[in-house]
Amino acid sequence: MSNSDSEDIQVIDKVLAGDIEAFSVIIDKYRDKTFNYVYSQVKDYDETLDITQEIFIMTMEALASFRRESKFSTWFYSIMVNYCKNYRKKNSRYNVISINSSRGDDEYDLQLPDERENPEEEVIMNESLRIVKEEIGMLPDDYREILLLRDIQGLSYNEIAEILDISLSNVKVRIHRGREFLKNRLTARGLI
Amino acid sequence: MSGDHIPFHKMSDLCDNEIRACEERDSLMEHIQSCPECALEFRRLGKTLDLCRELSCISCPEHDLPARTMRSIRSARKKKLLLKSMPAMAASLLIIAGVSLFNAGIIGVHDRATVADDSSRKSFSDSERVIEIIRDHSAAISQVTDEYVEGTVPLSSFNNLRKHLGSRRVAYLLVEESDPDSGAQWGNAIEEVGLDDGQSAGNREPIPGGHGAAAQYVRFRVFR
Ligand SMILES: [Zn+2]
Repeated sequence: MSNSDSEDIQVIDKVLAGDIEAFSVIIDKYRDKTFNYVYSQVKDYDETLDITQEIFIMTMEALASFRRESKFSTWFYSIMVNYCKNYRKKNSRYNVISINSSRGDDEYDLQLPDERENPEEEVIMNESLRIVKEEIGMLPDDYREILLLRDIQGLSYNEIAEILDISLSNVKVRIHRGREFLKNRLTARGLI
Repeated sequence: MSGDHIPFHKMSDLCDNEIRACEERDSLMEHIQSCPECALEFRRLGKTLDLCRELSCISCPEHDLPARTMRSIRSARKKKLLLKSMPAMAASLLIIAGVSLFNAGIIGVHDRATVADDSSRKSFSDSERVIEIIRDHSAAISQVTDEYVEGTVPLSSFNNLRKHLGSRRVAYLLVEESDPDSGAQWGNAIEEVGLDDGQSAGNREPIPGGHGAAAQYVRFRVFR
């Protein structure tokens, strides 16, 4: 067990023993990663903050069901991933509009969000990153999730397999496809 | 891509250091250096990953997010406690009315309200334990606040309830009706912390002047 993980467990034991305030340590530790994961695929800033907050509330409510068979971070990330997936599913503006993005042999469904107006974005990120975020937001679910976990959150293949509950070989295939997809989109946008 | 070029997944593996065999790695790199087409693809992949890394550096600019989230968690927990206390309120009303339908319907409400976190019940805050104790003693809960849980219990059940509440700080007074809105003078309440072994609150006369046929209930507050 890594240091970081045993620290998490100590905090969780405290919370479950009734010291609810101790949970703020978990929020503090994971808020940037969570914010980043959500913001990379959700349209606006306020929405991102609300979702980030909701993920922590949900985690707190579910804490007693954490079986400790995996690291806390793995368990937490799976809550985060599922929350975002369901959120996008429920919100019609993230619904899939099928267009053909032909790159020779492959065709994909693209997800088209509506036009973007985000004053905060201009403060937080430059034009290139805005395009990257936009293109990631339009990736098909399977590729977007894995790309964010691997190339943005920096998680290992094994952790990702556990979080998404898929095989290691499936993780690799999706990572390759997600990267290829994004690379092609960024090339088409003249960014790389 | 033609069969001679490097397939994308190999480039992706290369970026992740997933190609363990040195010879394979060397021959891939050699090809990339000598083939402009593959070199371009490889460079684009590298840039894509660089941009992702840049995106990963964005942190949450709201510094009060933890505090704000904790406020929401506290208020969500308070609501949950209230929800849990509802069956107790309903149950005691039914008992007072002489109807014993409690098990038929109300228990179901309780089960739904606490579904999926049964195992957490003992470990979370003491308030939930208090509510359970109260519920087990035909008592009605009228209020759950940050400081106390307030309820009303038939005088006959109060001794037993007090025993089960153990060393918790409790304030109580006699009232004539179970209705939580009927005036309870908290200024006159008796407050105590804990009970000695064998001592029972009912052995003492709780409220001076409050006895008589009409005084059937004890209003109490269990403090956190
Ligand atoms: Zn080549």
